[in-house]
Amino acid sequence: MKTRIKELRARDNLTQVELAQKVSVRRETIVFLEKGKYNPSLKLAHDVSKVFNMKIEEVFIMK
Amino acid sequence: MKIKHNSLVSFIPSIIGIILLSLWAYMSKYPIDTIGYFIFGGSILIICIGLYFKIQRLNNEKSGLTSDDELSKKIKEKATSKAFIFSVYMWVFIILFLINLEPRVKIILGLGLLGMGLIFSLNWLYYSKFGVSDEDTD
Repeated sequence: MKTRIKELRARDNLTQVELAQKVSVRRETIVFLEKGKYNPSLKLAHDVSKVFNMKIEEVFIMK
Repeated sequence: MKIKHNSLVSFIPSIIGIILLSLWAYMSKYPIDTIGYFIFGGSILIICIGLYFKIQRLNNEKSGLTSDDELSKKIKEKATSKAFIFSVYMWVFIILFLINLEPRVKIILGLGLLGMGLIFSLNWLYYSKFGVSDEDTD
């Protein structure tokens, strides 16, 4: 699974820590999400997409 | 965010472990043999890995982040399940081979328990570094 989280963070000027705080996870979780090494739960995927004001499928791209 | 009391309290077992190990090494009447070095080294490794995770937890809390989330729980579950399987293999190995080489039951049990601790700690470290994939069918 690919994600656009890193690109969207740069767009919105958010650090990994700030994004982690907004979605109530650890910084390490954001790192794994960005690398595509972790498939988040529906709730986490929804929360992350909400931060960027985008749809889930626009942030998380299934290969 | 206020550092949770639990995070600081969780350092206590590691500190006690270090103190006990140091006392054991210092007060031992006999010179430490190969098994003793293995036990000492393995215990230090387990304590160091534990301290690494505790410090990571503390850093997360200092940054105002949660110390436990869905991924950390998934990692612990995966590490625990893998550790159980590897521990079973380890005990089979000990019972089949090691018990003939080392007749002292206390040493065998101690090595087995230390081995289980090491297996879990190393699995936890591995999955923390490389992540847990839903496609992982091992």
